[in-house]
Amino acid sequence: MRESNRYLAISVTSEGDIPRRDLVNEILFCAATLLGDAGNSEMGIRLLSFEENKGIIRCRMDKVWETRAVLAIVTTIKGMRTRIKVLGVSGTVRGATEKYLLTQDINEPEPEIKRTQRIKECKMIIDVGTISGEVVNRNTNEIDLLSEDPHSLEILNRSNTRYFGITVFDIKDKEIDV
Amino acid sequence: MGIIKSSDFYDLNIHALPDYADSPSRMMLEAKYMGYSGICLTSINPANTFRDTDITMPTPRDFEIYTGIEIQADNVSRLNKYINRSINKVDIITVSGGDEDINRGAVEDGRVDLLAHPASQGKPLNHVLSKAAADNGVAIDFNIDALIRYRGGSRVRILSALRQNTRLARKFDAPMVITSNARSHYDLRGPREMMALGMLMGMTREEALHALSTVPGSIINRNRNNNRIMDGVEVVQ
Repeated sequence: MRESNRYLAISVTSEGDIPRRDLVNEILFCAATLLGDAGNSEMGIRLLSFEENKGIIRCRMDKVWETRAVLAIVTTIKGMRTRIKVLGVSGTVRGATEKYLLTQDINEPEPEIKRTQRIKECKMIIDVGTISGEVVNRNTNEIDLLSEDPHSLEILNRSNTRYFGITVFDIKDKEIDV
Repeated sequence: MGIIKSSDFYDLNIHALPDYADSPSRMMLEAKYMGYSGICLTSINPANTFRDTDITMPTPRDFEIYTGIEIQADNVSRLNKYINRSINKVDIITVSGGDEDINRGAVEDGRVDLLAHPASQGKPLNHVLSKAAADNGVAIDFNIDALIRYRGGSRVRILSALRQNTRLARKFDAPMVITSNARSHYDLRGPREMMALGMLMGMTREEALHALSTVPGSIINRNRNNNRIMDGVEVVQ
């Protein structure tokens, strides 16, 4: 008897590069902790492809909501904060690829470009003071900022992240050119 | 077009700088990307002062930012004082729940809009509190960050308390709201993922959909358009 499947197109946002193997392990681990072995065996989760932070996950047709819950539970992979967004669900691999992975959504930011070599200081004014640090990742308008003064570290610890997430609009003097 | 696709989604409890590590404009971009039509940026600090964030970025189309405060208090009289102080400054008043007395003080006050994470200490609400919440129109929050932040035994405890809250809210018809309680943009989840987690908390799909779209929408509508004359009296068209 043939199983009926659904294919979820996903996009992964993370603080660093995620190898395919670690992603698979984390998803299966989350599925096991959330639903147990019995529940997991009914879902048939499988990562079919994953490159450039986008991929396709297969699951059984009637378990799409459970699979979404499992993907939402994923928070950290190898100590790096990670977020998985489901771009869409389709009945065929081809449908998922053509509809959600190949088309460039207007809202969707460009793929993250690593520019660690050309680091520039960047200052941000907030009402309790200034946060200054190095730009780690830059992605059109979005900037990840690494800061190491004690007050900033306290905020980062509280939020359980490594970098401040800011945008180009937050920078006081727009001298940054990465 | 399906009913999920045609709905507007709101996330009413998102924390940004200076309290947590993401700037308001970054949160706005990320939430827009996730598919929300509005978020509430909630100040949370020990002094319970509201800091208005001035966003230098143009707001995207079909997107709204609301202001809020999450009040942390250790007794009910302090809670009243803080509510009085911030009632006219913010769109949405949230009370940081968990403690039984504070939960009670919050649901019995009609000025409060949302009781945030009432099950954070692993104890569910009871029938008295749920009935009071329904009478006073205080929404009960189902925070998904409890599920994504904790692992193992503590998650089991919180999840079973949340399930009990769902049953109580359904029985007494108290408004339910699903929020992310996000502390960085990595804590944000898409509306359908939030619905999936809400269904793990015992909601039906329709309840989860309303907890993300119509219920928060009506709270915003109630507070934004000055339809509120006094406690329990509203202008109805």
